[in-house]
This record gives sequence, structure tokens and C-alpha cells, in this order.
Amino acid sequence: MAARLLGRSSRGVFLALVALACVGPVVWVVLSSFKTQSQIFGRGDLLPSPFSLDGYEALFTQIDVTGYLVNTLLYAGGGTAGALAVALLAAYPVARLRFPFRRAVGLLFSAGLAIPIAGLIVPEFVIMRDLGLFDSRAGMVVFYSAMWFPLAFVILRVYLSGLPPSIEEAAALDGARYFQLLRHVILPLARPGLATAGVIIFINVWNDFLFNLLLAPSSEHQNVQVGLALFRGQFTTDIAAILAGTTVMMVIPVAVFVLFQRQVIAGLTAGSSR
Amino acid sequence: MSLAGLQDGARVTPVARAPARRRRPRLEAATPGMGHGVALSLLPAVLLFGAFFLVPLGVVVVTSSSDWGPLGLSFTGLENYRILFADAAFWSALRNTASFAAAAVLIQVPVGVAVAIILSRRIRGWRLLRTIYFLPNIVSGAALALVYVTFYNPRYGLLNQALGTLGLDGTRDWLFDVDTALPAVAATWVFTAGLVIVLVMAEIAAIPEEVYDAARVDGATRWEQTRHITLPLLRNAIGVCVILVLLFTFAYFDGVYIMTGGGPADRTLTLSLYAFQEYSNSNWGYANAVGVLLIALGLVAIVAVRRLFRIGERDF
Amino acid sequence: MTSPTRAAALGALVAMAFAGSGCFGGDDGDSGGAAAGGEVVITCEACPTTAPENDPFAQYRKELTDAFNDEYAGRYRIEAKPYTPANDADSAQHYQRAAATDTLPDLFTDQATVVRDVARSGKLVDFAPELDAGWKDTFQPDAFLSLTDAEGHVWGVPEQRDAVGIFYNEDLFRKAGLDAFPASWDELLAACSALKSAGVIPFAMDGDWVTQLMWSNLIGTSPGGPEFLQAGIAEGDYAADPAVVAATEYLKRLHTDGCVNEDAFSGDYNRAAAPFLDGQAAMIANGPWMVPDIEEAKLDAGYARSPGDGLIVIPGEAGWASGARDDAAREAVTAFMTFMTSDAQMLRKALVTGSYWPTTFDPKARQAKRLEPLSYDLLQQADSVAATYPHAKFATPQAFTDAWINQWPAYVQGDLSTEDFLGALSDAVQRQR
Repeated sequence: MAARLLGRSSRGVFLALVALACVGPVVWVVLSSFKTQSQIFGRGDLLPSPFSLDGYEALFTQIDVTGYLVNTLLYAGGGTAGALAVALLAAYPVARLRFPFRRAVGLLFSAGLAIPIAGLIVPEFVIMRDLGLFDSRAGMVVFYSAMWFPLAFVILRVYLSGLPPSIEEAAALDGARYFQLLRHVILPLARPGLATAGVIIFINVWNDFLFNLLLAPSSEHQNVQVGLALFRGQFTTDIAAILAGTTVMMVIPVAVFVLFQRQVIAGLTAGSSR
Repeated sequence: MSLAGLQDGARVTPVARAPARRRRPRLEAATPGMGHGVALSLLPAVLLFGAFFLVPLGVVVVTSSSDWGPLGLSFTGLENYRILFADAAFWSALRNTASFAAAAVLIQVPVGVAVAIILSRRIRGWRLLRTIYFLPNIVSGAALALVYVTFYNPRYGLLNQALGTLGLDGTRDWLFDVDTALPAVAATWVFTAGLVIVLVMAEIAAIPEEVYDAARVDGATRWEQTRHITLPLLRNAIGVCVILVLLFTFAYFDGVYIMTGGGPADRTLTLSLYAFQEYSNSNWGYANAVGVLLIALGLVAIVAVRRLFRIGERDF
Repeated sequence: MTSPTRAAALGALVAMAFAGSGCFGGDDGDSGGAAAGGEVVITCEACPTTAPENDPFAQYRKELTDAFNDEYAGRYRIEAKPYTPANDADSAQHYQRAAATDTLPDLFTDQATVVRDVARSGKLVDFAPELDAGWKDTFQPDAFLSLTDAEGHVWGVPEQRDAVGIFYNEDLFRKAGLDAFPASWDELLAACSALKSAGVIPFAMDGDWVTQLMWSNLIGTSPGGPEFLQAGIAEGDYAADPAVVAATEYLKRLHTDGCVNEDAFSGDYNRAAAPFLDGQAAMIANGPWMVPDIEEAKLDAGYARSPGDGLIVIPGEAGWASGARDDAAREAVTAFMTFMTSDAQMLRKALVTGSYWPTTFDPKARQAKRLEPLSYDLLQQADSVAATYPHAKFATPQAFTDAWINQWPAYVQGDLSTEDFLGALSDAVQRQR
């Protein structure tokens, strides 16, 4: 009996500690972004008093946060759309049709998930440069589409395999051609899978740091992660501005996640267990 | 029977979970011309994948034995590898990457599994907790790095302030002290096992309740149930988690780049950061040698873990 | 519609997903050239299009660009395509890449070491011919030191020549009972004790810029120091030089004796600036560009030469360089360089930014009165001080600084011997050659 109670409370403590490790520092930073400079430096308390927007003001006036946000939105939106489009086009035949080397192609595309892409930074740089895509917004969208294609492919493939086999038979009866079938029948049915993969990819592209730094490093093309992380050195004393910047970096992905929790988790479990 | 069924606690439907049944409608016979459609449909994927995965992979392997820079390329055989193995920084990077990998497998995964098992009992507020645990996976690595740079700051960071309030030594420069730098960096991600928790919870949800009922009837305690039913059935999922955290560890870059730049004295240098530094110094062939090693490590890890955990046929 | 048309339409849709964002396609800097009407347009990445109030350098550059365009209207025109690097390493990479991809702008500025590095690509304009034709006489003798390579090519035109001293908080000095800035290194240690007793952080450092400035002061005020900092430092092999060893050990001692702020590592300049500007630290080594920040923090500050009677004088630490590819652009670029270094423009620059000229310009008394007193006074001390020398970053590649930031904390914490620390720095420099 006592052991049971002890077990329960120690489990509770354990859960609480892990939760603290996960969000404690983040919450502190968000709260502190609303403090004044002197409160941050002084051994003050956790909550901002007085509540101040100094940090945000400094942030938005001194650097082009809006520009970074626009870039990030473009990359995330474009990259997601690109990855989904290419993946749907590839996943459908691999999942449901028969053609030579189908299994090999499927394996190959899925294997893209296994390569630590950090090992490929030099050739990615060279290829982007040789294709004329280096240091350009369009180039980043193309790159992100390619980079996240394997994950989208895996998720969509699993999803499409789960659809009933009668679809193609019915379509064959109607005399449908390939792209008609794809556009009018498969696409609507694939929406939940697309939503799932889409949300995951959107968040990941939004959060990307290394590849934006590597492939589109000039300040007009930086996304919000690279722009704000690197600008840290510029703020001579304005810590509140850095904290405000950090908060800004986190807001969108968290909001997207909270709205689309279900899809994200469903997609991860499907995509990873295969 | 769609993926939307893979929610929160619902039983995962067999159709979506089982390896995809090979549907083979023989459409070629019914509608000639589909073949062209398929080829065209696959074309963008082939182009993109080829250009950004296959070609780079080939380039990395081939040029890893060359001296390559903006001014040209010349093959040098195994010279790069000779320099690599003689470079103290490389060994630091390898050691640190290995330490991170060990931390990931020995701390992150068990913590995640433990939390998942507890949460699967549907205690109050489990959904909120799961969201909290998953939050670090949603926020960018760069943002987290900035959070921790501030958190660890010796003068105004939360950690030192808290330690000072508790009467302990609140003056250390955690990220730049040779003894604490590596653990401090690891501590920023080793307890955040959100992905593991989500995956393991989904897998636990698929275990039919009847199995537990039977065990309870036999008088098994909760711990015994966990040990003899849950854990063995989680073997695959845990194996997948181990692979995922290892891949993440090998790719880990944002945090070390922003927080410490690899210092002090290469105490927090990782292979990925080392490769990037060499790229920045225009030693491209050499950077690719490091890249080859990274990729090889990733593949070895996947094969080894699959074998160890006896994971069935998968797409990886 | 038949199947191939459908396929093409779908393919086009996919392609549009990519091309649609092509509207936002980025542009890189590249060279201008003669326009149809005869006006030569040159691109400039160091010329801003807006000048925020708190950025005097941006203001100066914008005024300079506008003035040039006015003066040479119809003949030459600068097209401003500003590039703002996030940090030094970022900038170095940017220009290396631009050289590798043939997209260097006609005008840009960067640190001399970066300019020399980029020059190795062969894509920069060599100003030696123009200088030999007599233009050189208008400059101070050491003005081109950092921008000239071993073969005598001159890869850039210096924009400034400044004295870098040590700012000190006169209030805190008075509080500690000090009435003068320490004149010797021993006196510095004594001042350190006094300040510590008064509850003040004696010296603010950051593990990179400020720390290296003090290291340079220590070396420069030793025999043979100036020569080492000007040239010897690029050779590597520091552990063999006793002056360097002594300087390094003294600097470490300052840390271990508690004369320096606890978080003097990471290379984050913030770590040094914050305590000084907050009035918690008494001294910081930095250039005259810090004066506006000091005024904004309302500190009662003095600006002194280094203990040991030395002064860091950096002629042409940064320079204007050019990647111009055709003769018309080169002509325009030369015209700009001459304009930029003219007396009127240089005086204007000193008034706006507080940084001084690499030329032999000697302002009249009433002009001099308008200049910022702290920095101008220090600059004039360069004539009377025992030793002048550049600082360590002057002749070393980025790899030196990277190695410094990496190894310095470990050395100060006793994890490395002095020999090993200096060895690591030497290796970094020698590997780059």
C-alpha cells in the first residue's frame, strides 16, 4: 500500500522533472523577454515587473525581423508544397501500381531518410551553385522540397497503401487516364495524409538553421532562425532584444503544432514505424 | 480506416499499421498509356532525389580522397584520411559525437520509454503532458540554443541565479568551463524525449487490452506486466527510436554552433561541426572525408541497431 | 485533352510551384559597367540605402555615396546594394564565395586580412599602378601596410587610421583611490587590487576582440613587439618568442587574479561591453567607435595609452576593395577612392563617426575643435608614445581568431600549458598558408 503511494508520487515527481527540463528554460526566456534590461540583470524574480515591451521594440527597430519572417514563410510554404507535390506524384505509383523496379524505387526514396544530410554539406553547396540556385529564395524552396521529399514520400506511401483497392478498378471501368485519376480521385482522398506530412514538413523547414546558413547566407535571404541567431553578436547590451527575438522564433511553430497536433503525431507514428 | 485513426488512444487499425499490402491492380492491361503517366509522375522525384541525394552522395565519396577548394581539385589518395586520423580535433569530435550518442541511447530513450509507459495509463492531464514533452521538438534548434545561451549565462542566466538563491556556487561559466561544457550542451537535449514518447505511446496503444486482462487474472503486478508484456512488445518501436535518436545525434549542429562554436578547446566539437568548419576554411575534400565518415557511421548504426533489436523488414 | 497534354499541364503546375517563388529570386552582387548613355554604374555592397540614427558609420557612408553621385553625376554613379554581414566570419565567407562564383561587387569593404585572402582568387583590382603615379604621397607611410601583399600588389584603399586605447571609468577610479591611469604593467596590477577592494571589476574582456587587444599591448610594449605584430605573427611559431610567452602568461594572470570579469570568454563582445557600460567594470580596451555608446551610457570616461607607454595604431585595418572587371568600372572605382580620401570627406567622416584618416591631412585649429576630443587626443599621442604597433588580428587569418576563442578558456582554466596554447595558435596560422 505504502509502496503503491510511494510509487505514484515518485512517478509524479519524475514526470514533473522531465516536464521542467523540457519547457522550463523556454518559459523563462519568454517571460524574461517582457522584462526591462535592469530586471534581467538584477537578481530578480521570474515574472516581469514592470511588464515591458522594450525588448520587442529594440528588436523590430534594429533589425529586419519582418523580412526574415517573410523569407521563412516563403521557404516553409514553398518547400512544403514542393515536397508534397513531388512526393504524391511518386508515392502513388509506388504504393498502388505495378511497374518494373517498383520496390527498388520505393526503397531508394525511403533510404533518403537514413542519410545524415549533415555529411553532404559540401556537395549540396556545389550543386546549388552549379545549378544557379545558390543564395536565392527560389533555390532554397527547391532545396527544401528535395530535402523533405523522402519523409513526405514515406508518409504518403503508407497512407495511400491504406486506401481500398477498388479505387483503381472503378477508375479503370470509367476509362480514366493516369493524371485524371490522380487529380480527381487520389488527390482528394489523400488530403489527410497530405495534411499530416505537410504540417510536419512545414514546421521542420521553418526551424531549419544549417541549410539556410549554408545555401542562402546573405542577409536578405536569411530565415528567422539564422538571422536572429547570428545577430546576437550585434546587440551590444540589449539582452531583452535577444530574448524577444528568441520568442519570435518559437511562436509560429508552436502555434501550428497546437492547431494541428493530431496530424503531426499521427504522421510521425506512421512515417517512422515503417 | 485512415491515418486519422492513429489518434490519442484509439486502437491503431490493422490496415494502416501492417506493412502495406501489395495492391497490384493490373492497370496496364486496362488502360494503355498509364505507363507513360507513371514515368512522368516519377520524373520530378527522380530528378530531385538524384540531384540532391544521389549525386551529392557520389561526390562526397569520390572527392573525399582529394584536395578540393574554390581554386580547383586534385586527387590525393588517402592523404585526407591520414591527416584526419592525426588531427587531435578530429578525435575530439569523434569522442564527443560518441558521448552524445551514448547519452542519447542511454538516457533519452529510457526516459522517453518510461514516460510513455506512465502516460499510457491515461492519468489525468496526459494529453497536456505529452504536448509539453513534445514542445522541444517543435521549437527550432536555433531557438533552443539561444534559450540555453541565456540560461547558462554566468551573470544573469536562470541557472546561476537559481543556484545563488539556493546558496550554491552560482558563478560558473557552464558553456565555457572545460569540465562542464560537454555535459551542459548535452543537458539541453538529453531529457527532451518527445519523439520517443509519442512513438512508444502509439505502439503501446496497439497492444490489445485482453493481454493485460489475462495477466491480471493470473495475478501479475503492474511492474511484472510492464516487464513481461509491454517491454517485449515494444522491442521494434524502441529499436526505431534508438535509430532515430542516433541519426539526430549525428546530424546535431545548430546547438553546438550557436552555443559554443565547438569550444572550449574542442570540448564540444562534433563531427558535423568539424565538417562545417573545414568547409568554411575551403578544405572541401577534407570536409567530405569527414562527411563520408558521418554517413558511414549513420549506416553502421542503423544496421547494428536493426540487428540488435531484430527489427523486421522496414523501408529504411 | 489527351494524356500527354494533361501530363504536361500537371508538370507545369509542379514547375510553377517552384517558379512562383522565383519572383522572389535573390540577386547577388555583381559588376556594373558602361550604361548606354555613357554614365558608368558601379555596384557597391558597403553603401547603405538607409541610415538608421544610431549607426554613424551607415550615416557617413550614405552621405559619402550621395555626395559622390552628386559630384560625378552623368559620369559615374554608385548603385548601392548593401550587404550586412552578421559577423566577421560570415563576411569573410561571403566574399570568398563571391570570388569563387564571379559575383564580386565593384566596391566593398572588409578587414584587411579578408581582403588579402580574397585577393588570392585573383579577382580583385590591384591599385599599385595608380598609387605609384603619385597618389601614394597623400597617405601616411604605414597606411597601406595591411593591404599590400608580398609581391607589392595593393588590394585595397584604407578608410581609416585609428589609435586604439583603453577606456577607463573615472568615477570608479576615484572610488578606488586612483588618480591616474597606470603607466606600467606593474602599476596595472596595483590598480587592479585597489579596484577589487572597492568592489569593482577592474577589467572587462570577452575572450576575443578585447582580450586580443590587451595581448597586443603586452607584446607591443616589449622589445621586438611591433615587428612581431606587423609581420612575425603571420609566420606562426609563437612559443619560441619569450616576449609572446611572457605576455600570454601575464594576461592569464590577470584572469586568475580576479582582475577580469568571470565570463570573459566565448568571443561575445557583449560580455565585455555590458559590465563596462553598466558601470560595473573600470576598464575596457576598444577603439574610438565605442565613444557614442559610452556617451549614451553617460559615463565619465577617459581614454589612455597602454601601460608600458605603447599605443595600438591601426592604419588601414579595413579597406575598400574592388572586384571590377572592365576598364570603365575601374576608372569609376579609382575616382571614388580618390574622392573618399579627400580632405573634405575625411573630415566629414571624423565628425560623424569619430574615426580618422589614413592620409597626411592636418586639420586647421578651428576644424580640429569640432572633432571628438577623447579619440583625437589619443590619436595625436601616437606621435609622442614610445611604441606604436597594430593589433593581433591585423596580420592573422580568421583561423587564428577561431583558434583563440576555442583555446583561450581552456588555457586560462589551467587545462593547457602556455606552450600548448601558443602551439595551437601557431598551427592554425600555419595551416592556412
